[in-house]
Amino acid sequence: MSKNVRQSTVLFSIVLTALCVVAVGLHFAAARAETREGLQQDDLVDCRRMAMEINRLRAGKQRALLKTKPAGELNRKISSWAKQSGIPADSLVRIDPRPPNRVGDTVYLEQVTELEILGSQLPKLVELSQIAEQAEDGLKVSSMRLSLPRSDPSEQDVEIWNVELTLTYLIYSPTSKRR
Amino acid sequence: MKTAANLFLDRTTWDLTLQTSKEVVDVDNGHWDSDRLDVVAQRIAESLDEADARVHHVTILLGASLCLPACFTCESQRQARSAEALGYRLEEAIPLAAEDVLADFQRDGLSVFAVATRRAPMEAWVLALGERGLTIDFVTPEASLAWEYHLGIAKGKQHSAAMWQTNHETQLIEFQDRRPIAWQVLSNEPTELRQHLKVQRLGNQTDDQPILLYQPSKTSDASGLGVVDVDHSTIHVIEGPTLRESATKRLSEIRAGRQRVPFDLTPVTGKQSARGPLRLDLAAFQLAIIVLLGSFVFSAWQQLQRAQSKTDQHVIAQEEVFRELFPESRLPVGVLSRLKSERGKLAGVRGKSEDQVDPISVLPILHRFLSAVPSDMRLRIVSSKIDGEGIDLSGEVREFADADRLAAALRSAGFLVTPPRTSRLPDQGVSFRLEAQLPNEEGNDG
Repeated sequence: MSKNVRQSTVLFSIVLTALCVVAVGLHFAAARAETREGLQQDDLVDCRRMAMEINRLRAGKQRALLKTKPAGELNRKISSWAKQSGIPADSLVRIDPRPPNRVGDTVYLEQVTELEILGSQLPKLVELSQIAEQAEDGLKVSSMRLSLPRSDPSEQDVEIWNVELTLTYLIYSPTSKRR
Repeated sequence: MKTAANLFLDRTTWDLTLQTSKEVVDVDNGHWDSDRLDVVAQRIAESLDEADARVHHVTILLGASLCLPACFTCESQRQARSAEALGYRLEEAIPLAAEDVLADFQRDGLSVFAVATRRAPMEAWVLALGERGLTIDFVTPEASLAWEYHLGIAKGKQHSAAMWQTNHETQLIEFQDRRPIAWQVLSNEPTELRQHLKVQRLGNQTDDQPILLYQPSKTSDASGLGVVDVDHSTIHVIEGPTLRESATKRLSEIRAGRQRVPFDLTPVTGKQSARGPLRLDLAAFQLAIIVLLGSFVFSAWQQLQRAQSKTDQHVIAQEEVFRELFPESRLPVGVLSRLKSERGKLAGVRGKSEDQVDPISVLPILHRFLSAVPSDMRLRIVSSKIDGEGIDLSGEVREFADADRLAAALRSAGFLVTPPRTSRLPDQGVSFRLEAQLPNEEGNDG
């Protein structure tokens, strides 16, 4: 075999090998890219579905908080609501925020604040409850305990009550286990 | 015309020349025999490499001593058209089996003029040169090129034969209707030559036509032949090319594509084709493989680009979805997982409760209770506890029946009421205690 033929054969072999390597590499790269493209397309569909759900949820009513309310902020608000509903400041004798407790095996914590109001009329108590529920998303008056004051009712012109109100926030706080 | 190599072979000698459109250059020559063909082929390859490394194509031109001419008449047109049938007819005219020769034919109706050569030496030559990277364009008798060239330049001259004389021999080609019908190698000895021509002319019907004798110049020794009448026949001496010059001129025309090879005696070996086309076919095949692989690479590259482009588009679209939802937020690395997280939070904060843990407001319960109490009833509530489950009520009424009436009124309002526990008070009236619960579904719904 002459030198030229040998050279051309070697050159052909080198080109062929290089092309084979490139072809195989590109083939696998293209296959991987197509798989990735399929996954990204699925992700895009999921993203759009998530966006629709997020928009729908945003339009809904808030029923829980994402974090606990600072005690000072809540105290200020309760005093303000009492004032708005005509309950004298000295009638509000106790505001007792409790530490949040998990509600069963759920993703929610319950933050309870107890109020004690002495000698207030029922309409004012109802108004206070309505103001509180309307002013704060997710706040509910979950319990109301009414009792008559110890003084003789016949001595009073209007009907007054001592009341213990329980205000409850729900806080969304999933644990890592539930996630 | 590119430079090409001509290898003139005779029974024992070879002569290598390089031919361009302008000149023919002697390169090398020597003797050969079948036993040392490899050595000779190697020398030829090396000589060619030294003379012009670009030349890889060789034409083998066979001398008369390697050729077996024959003229015969076929029995039918079908036989004249069949190469196999002609091969067997050739067997009758030459002392070799059809399998042992390479032959080619020129047909004129049923009349056939054939030239053959031994197969084995030619195959050995082609193989030996092929192994050294030399491609054999074709193998053909040198004389056939010469007489084809002669027929081309002597169109207007009436003649029955042409002769070329060399130092050793005289080649005589007889024609009929400008087609070869006999090819003979004669001695240069004048007496013998005259005798042969005399015999030849007796049997020739075209005896009134002259024989053309090609000689390089008229000053050369034409009288050796005796440029005289030979029993009424005349020999016309033409100052023209030698046999080899005529052959190489015809070769130029063939290489230029203007003429065809008159007698192609090229063998096809098992290892390598002597013909250029197969050599070209191999290159074309290699090129086709490279083009095929190249197109596959291009296609895969396009596929990759397309997939990457689409992937980028999907990623950008995901980012746009996120930016529309959270224009103030920084773009996260994983958009979908972030959206899932946000959706989870929102579902927990604003979605429907799956755990049914929402606190129930007491206000609707209180409203329902107050609406249910009969307006004409005298009732004193001592204490009450209202929560999501219902009302726990303690109070005083005038009569036992009033407690039952209150319970019935609450039942009418949808409460589930336990029978009131009552007891007579020391002074007057009846104390009672009852529990009014909301049905489960209402309590849970708030």
